[in-house]
Amino acid sequence: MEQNVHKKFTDRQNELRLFVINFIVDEGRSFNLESDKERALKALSMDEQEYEEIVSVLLEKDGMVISDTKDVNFIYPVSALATNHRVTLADGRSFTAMCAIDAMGAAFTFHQDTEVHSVSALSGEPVFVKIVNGEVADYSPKTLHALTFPLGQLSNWAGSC
Amino acid sequence: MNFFSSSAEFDQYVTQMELDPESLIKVDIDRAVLEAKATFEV
Repeated sequence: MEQNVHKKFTDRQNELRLFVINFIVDEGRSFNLESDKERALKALSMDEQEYEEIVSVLLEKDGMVISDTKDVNFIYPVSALATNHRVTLADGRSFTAMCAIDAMGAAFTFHQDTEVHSVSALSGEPVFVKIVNGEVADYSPKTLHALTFPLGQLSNWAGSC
Repeated sequence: MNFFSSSAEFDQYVTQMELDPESLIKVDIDRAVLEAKATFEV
């Protein structure tokens, strides 16, 4: 199983995926597959049939998670719903990520330096991770650990957060 | 998919949540960033 989320999809599918990711980050809310559709179609020069086909693939391959009202609440690594893992990008935008690894992974999705502010799942102690040029530049506490799963054994990250 | 202040906290969490230790990995910060890059790099 392909672990890298981006490589699970074609270029065109990733164009829509990244559009929705940036929409959520820019707007600070979920992308609705119906009411926000026109903005995606226009931005990506996409017709409705292609849009629906790509949405089906993104859902089928666990690229995103939607609500009953077709709000995209989770699209890796971004969460439109509040979580404990807040990411701030170098360009000043900020959002919450689904999981610890997702929060750190934002640096590689957006290709930007990032700061992650979170909390320990057990004690609630503040957690900080700074990633610069794809490497950890600073973090606290110095005994920081994270829980993850073996690469390739997990298809639906949202279900594990 | 959470952060923990220490290795001991991680172990305590796994016990409390009755998680299967065989199905998950405890990673330090260096391993965590490698996992993050492998999964989310565009």
